[in-house]
Amino acid sequence: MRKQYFYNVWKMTKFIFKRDKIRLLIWVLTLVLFDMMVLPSMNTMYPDQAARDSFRLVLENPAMIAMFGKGYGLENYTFGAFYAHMMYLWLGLFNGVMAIMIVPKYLRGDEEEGRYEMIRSLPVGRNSNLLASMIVIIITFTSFIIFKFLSLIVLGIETIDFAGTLNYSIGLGLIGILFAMIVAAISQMYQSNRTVMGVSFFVFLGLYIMFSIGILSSKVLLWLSPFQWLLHSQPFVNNIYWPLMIIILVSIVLAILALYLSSKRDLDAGLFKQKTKAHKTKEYIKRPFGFALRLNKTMIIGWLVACLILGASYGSIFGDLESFLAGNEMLANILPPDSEYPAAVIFMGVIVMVMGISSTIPAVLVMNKVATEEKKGRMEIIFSHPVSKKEIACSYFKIALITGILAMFVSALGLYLASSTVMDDNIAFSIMLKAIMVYIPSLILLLGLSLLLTGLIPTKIWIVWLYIGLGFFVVYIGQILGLSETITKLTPFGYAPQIPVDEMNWITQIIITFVGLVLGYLGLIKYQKRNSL
Amino acid sequence: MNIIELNNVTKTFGKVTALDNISLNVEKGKVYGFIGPNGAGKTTTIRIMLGILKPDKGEAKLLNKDTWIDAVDIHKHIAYVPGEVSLWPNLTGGEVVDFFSKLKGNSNKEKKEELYSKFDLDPSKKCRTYSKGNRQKVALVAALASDAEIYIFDEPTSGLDPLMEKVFQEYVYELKKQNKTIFLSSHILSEVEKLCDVISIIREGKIVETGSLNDFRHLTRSQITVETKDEIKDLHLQKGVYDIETVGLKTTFQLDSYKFGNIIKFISKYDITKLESAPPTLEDLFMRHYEK
Ligand SMILES: Nc1ncnc2c1ncn2[C@@H]1O[C@H](COP(=O)(O)OP(=O)(O)OP(=O)(O)O)[C@@H](O)[C@H]1O
Ligand SMILES: [Mg+2]
Repeated sequence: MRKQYFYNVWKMTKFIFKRDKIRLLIWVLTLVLFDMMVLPSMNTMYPDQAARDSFRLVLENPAMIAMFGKGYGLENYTFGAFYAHMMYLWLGLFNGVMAIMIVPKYLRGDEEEGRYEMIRSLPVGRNSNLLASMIVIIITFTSFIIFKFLSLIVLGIETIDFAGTLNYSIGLGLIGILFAMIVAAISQMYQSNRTVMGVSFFVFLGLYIMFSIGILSSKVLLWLSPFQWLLHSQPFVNNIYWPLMIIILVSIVLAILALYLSSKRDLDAGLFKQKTKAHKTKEYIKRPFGFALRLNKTMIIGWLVACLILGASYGSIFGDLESFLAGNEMLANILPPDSEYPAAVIFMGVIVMVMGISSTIPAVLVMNKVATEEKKGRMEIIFSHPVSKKEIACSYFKIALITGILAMFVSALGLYLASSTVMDDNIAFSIMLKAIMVYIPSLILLLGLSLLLTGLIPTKIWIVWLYIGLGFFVVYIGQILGLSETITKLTPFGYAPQIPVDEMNWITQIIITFVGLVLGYLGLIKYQKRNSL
Repeated sequence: MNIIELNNVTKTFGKVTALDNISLNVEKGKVYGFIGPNGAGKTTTIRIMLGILKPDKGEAKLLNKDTWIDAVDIHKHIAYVPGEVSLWPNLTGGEVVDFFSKLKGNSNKEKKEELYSKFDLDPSKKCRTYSKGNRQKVALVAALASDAEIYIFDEPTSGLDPLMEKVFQEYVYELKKQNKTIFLSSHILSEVEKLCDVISIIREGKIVETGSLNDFRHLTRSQITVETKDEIKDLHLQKGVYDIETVGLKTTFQLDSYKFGNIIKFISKYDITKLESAPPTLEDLFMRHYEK
């Protein structure tokens, strides 16, 4: 690669910081503060060996192993070992998400919006923006490492020692950098910012599922997942650095790949060409409902496939689950003793929760479009036609709702198809379907919230994501952290019963549905009244 | 010396052939007009000149350097204004202009101030508040404030009001006086007609005509209106005459420019009382090339 390709890279780096320092700072601080808040509360919650040991047993359940990993230092389960077991992987996931949220904007966002063209007409190398973005990310995560290290050391908790904290902070920072490089490579291949984000999340999810399945059944799969490299550094237990070296090496390889691809390609181009479609407008596209459907068709189908795969991946664990449970009497003991249900069904309850929440994602993506499309100025041309705002919002709401329900359906289907092939005594499809459909009221609430934001503060539509993220976190690992009931009840997911173990709470669910519809209605009124952006 | 030189450049996007074997040369100090219908390949040509697209075939050179390989060296000496300007919503127009000139390495503060006031642009406002025209002005200020050899404009006035268009044209005259080379793609024919020394017409990825405005006029027809005392006979038998319409003693027709003399001689026999000749506009020419 010629030196010219990197001309003015420092000026570009400074420019990115200038534009985005606030956002980067908020991300870093959020991730750092999160640990600072959780750590002391965990320390008080699980103060002694006995408390931790009893909890360790819970974590030995395969569903938990799939989520958290096996943990290290279980024989001498110090608070440090326990903390790493609980948090290391999850914070690694968060850092991955952060990278995926930040990077595409620099790499494809500007290019797609046409801002990059003028920069490229100036004496700026072909790779300068890419390298500058990489530098920004590396600086960001390095400062993350420093802040994280200092903030944990300051807390002065005994087994959260110097060496362990260092390993822990570096590991988390590196996994963030790794995902940034994955995104960098992907963004040289696809043309639009949205596709890059989508594909990146897909890869991210795939790597996590690979970890989950791998840890239960396949060493090869496990070690192909970067999350294993991260976990294997075993902070607060053995503080090993060679797995982190793998992360660094792979990051470098990906960075070089990205730079190579970028030096070869045209502006606005990718490795994979966007298809040019036949130019015949189908009848259905001519009404808002059909038009919205057409706009979202690819995304919806993509997500439905993803949900099917997610369901199937979880389903495939069920086989191991049975054999695992059969050989583990102790574990069988910690399951509710009076339970009339087999362990697999209880396990299903946890899994369905994850699938239920992820099924709301494509639906909310569709619903948020009302605001995001408006922000991009694409709604204006639609409003100029004899189409009411109400019709548009309602069309999107309908499509979103159907999408969400379909996503739940295919998730359950995937779960059923995969689990029934690996289990001797499989769970009926109808049970799975019932278990997941419990999330429909929550879905309606989220759609209502989205519509409310669209009406009130459309530029802040991302609040819905924050809310879903919170819900996910609170429900998924919040129970284990022992977060109090009141916090779980802040999100609709906290009210969803685990069918068939729990009773169906019709009244609560009807109330949630009702609240969702009211929010949506208020949003609709505001939306109709307010000015366009 | 040729400052811009494209030889047999072909560029395809999937199945679309955006440029089909085009060649063009721009000499130093010339203003080169580039016109053609939507989707003809103007922007693609410019992007190849900027080295942000790589030609599939052929070579593109600016200042005698390969546009793709030596992009950075070339860019130190060029200024560019795109047709569709998109800016960073949370930066001010002034910040963007300053950043661009920092990348360029030469910054002329007085010139910038002058341009802001001439173009009536408030650089302290955030880009998100700018209208299309104002965004265009930001790019124009950045380009005109920089010291370059070649100025490339892709429909630079598409969002400007007529007053601002005029300001732009004045600056182009000034650049021309300084012997700078200018490449101007435009749909506004009067602009091209006013400013350009050489004009090329591109259609469906091919350059169909190149020459000075006079060359073009030579190729085109004038609209003649004539009134005579006697009825003109056998006009349709004359070469170079088209679309004859006769109302009484008044006749209108199209005339190939190079036949002008012959035909005037011919009709003067019929005792001319009134003769009007409208010169061919670029627009006529343009239309002829645009219609399939
Ligand atoms: N990145 C791209 N991918 C696919 N096709 C493209 C791309 N860029 C241009 N084209 C196609 O190449 C052809 C030429 O486009 P170009 O933008 O150069 O036209 P233009 O003359 O600038 O038109 P306009 O007057 O509308 O600006 C068009 O058919 C266009 O659809
Ligand atoms: Mg164009």
